[in-house]
Amino acid sequence: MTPTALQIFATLFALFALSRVILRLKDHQLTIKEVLFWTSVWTGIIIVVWIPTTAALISTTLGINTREPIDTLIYIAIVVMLYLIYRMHVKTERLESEFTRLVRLVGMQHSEEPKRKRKK
Amino acid sequence: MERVFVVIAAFNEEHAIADVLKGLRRAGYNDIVVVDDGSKDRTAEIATSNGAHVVRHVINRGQGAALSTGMGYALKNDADIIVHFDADGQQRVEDIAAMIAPIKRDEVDITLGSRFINKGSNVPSMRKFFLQAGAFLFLILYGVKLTDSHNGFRAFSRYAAEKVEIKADRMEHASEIIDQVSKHKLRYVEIPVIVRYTNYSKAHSKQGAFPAIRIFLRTLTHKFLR
Repeated sequence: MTPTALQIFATLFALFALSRVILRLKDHQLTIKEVLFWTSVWTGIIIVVWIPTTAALISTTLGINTREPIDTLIYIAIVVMLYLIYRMHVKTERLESEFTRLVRLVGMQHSEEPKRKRKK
Repeated sequence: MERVFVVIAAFNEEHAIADVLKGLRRAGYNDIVVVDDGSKDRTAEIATSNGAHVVRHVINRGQGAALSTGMGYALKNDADIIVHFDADGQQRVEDIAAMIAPIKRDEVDITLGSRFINKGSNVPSMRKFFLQAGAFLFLILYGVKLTDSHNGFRAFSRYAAEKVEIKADRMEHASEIIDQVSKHKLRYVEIPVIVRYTNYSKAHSKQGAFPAIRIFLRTLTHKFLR
């Protein structure tokens, strides 16, 4: 069976993404949990692309009746993406409030008295 | 004698801040904190030379964050009553006395200015619609009945200022304060105030449908997604 363009492109992209994950692990910018999550996502994509029956297997296991088993993966992808967006939202909010705390602390330490008082 | 602190959040207000501060000092309010929220102009310099204490945010963090910084500063400096006042000259200094009177008499913990109890404020009609819709939202979300929303004119007793913790950095702090009035069961009253809409103030404040919808969405996110 000759590989399709999609199989080649998806595999190359997944390998590229995996290499980024490993690099971020080396830089200590990702935790082990995050590395495991992203490694399984990209490995999973390679498996499904080369063995399409796995998509059908996941579909049946989850009880999703669809003529195109790949639909199931799209559903899962949407749910995962929504969750990741939520996580990012929470994280951004936390960063913003930490940022404000820092800006406030610096401001308080360097507060300026009214000039009229200095003249006295 | 209670120590009254006036807290002003200012962002690029070099053209209006001097007159606002002069007016406050003429009326006898000498404890003024201007939080310069990352202005790119001479706001901070003008504020110190006009008798205000200045706390600078090195970068812009929003009105909620600036008011919270100012309240922290005022509490640290033994404030008994804290007044939120706008930097753009929309609010009238003469209304402060009425805002703080019920707190001095220990009748309430917090007073909120309202443009709609008495007529006199030339509120643009679109803005009036969104402000009253906001007041209705406060009733649904927090069970607090008001005639106005997002009116920056407020006064807090020391007790209320210590209880109210503003976490929302941007404009949704207005709804967060109402949320906390309800949560901490603070005694509140609305006081009629007059807000003067000038071309300067209109240009400086976020008006219209899009900012209102954005504030509405952020209020909901703040309430339900944190």
